[in-house]
Amino acid sequence: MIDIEWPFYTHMDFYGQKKAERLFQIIIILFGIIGFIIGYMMQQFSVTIYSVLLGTFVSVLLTLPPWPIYRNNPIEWQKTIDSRIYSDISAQSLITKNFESL
Amino acid sequence: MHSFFSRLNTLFAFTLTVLAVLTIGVFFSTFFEKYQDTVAIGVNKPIVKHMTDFSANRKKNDLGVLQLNLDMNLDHLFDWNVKQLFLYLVAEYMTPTNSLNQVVLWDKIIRRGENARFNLHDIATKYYFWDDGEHLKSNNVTLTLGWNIISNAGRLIHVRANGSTSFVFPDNYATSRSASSKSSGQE
Repeated sequence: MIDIEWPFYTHMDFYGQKKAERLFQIIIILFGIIGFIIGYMMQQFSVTIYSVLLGTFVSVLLTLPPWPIYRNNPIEWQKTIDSRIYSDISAQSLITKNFESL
Repeated sequence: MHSFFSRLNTLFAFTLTVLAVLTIGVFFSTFFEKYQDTVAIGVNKPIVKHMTDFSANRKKNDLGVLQLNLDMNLDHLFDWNVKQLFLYLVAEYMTPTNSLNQVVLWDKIIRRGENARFNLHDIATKYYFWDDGEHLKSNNVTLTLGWNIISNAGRLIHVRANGSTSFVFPDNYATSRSASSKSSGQE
């Protein structure tokens, strides 16, 4: 983030992103429902709001930093190959094709 | 979701959406509430004076002076959707020139958590009881207490309480020396 070379990593892989998003959605909705029920029993709306904010705080701790569980499926990049061979061959085939279409 | 800030952004937006849905839920949970109650109003020593109203036209109008007794207990009106109550005491009467006159004599704001039980004796009215003309003598006036519910999420509801009283003003004007309160006008 912000294009600075931090000494620690800040990104997750794709399966980790899916897990993190599902986790915080469930946590915040759960705290919201519990807060709504308790707020209705106590007839205090502030209890509901505080409960949702508490759920947000717990989600921030659990899903915002890139914990190792979100980095278990690293993206597999293909191995680099020497591209000079392919650039020569592809340039030659382009030139011969153009001569044939003329 | 790849960077830290995009995760933070998504989390924040989701929190706001959940809060909005819960607020709509609070609105629906108190949609059919009536907020009705009974109060006791009393009137002592009503008199009528004939004075120049300097805040209106320079003619002489009737000014009613009275003391109020108010007894009410409004604790049960504060459910989780009520932020504050705005109480007002209104006097309604009829004159030959107007078929309905309404004058607010007293009001009060009660916030959630403040004391909502009142037993007031012989208080003066908060506002002057000017008539638009000179027809207050021997006029039958009805006092009604009403309140305005100010919600966290919902409509503004006007409710008139049960328990209104009526009284009749005397037939003669009072001189300013015999009146005990609000005798600041000129005669």
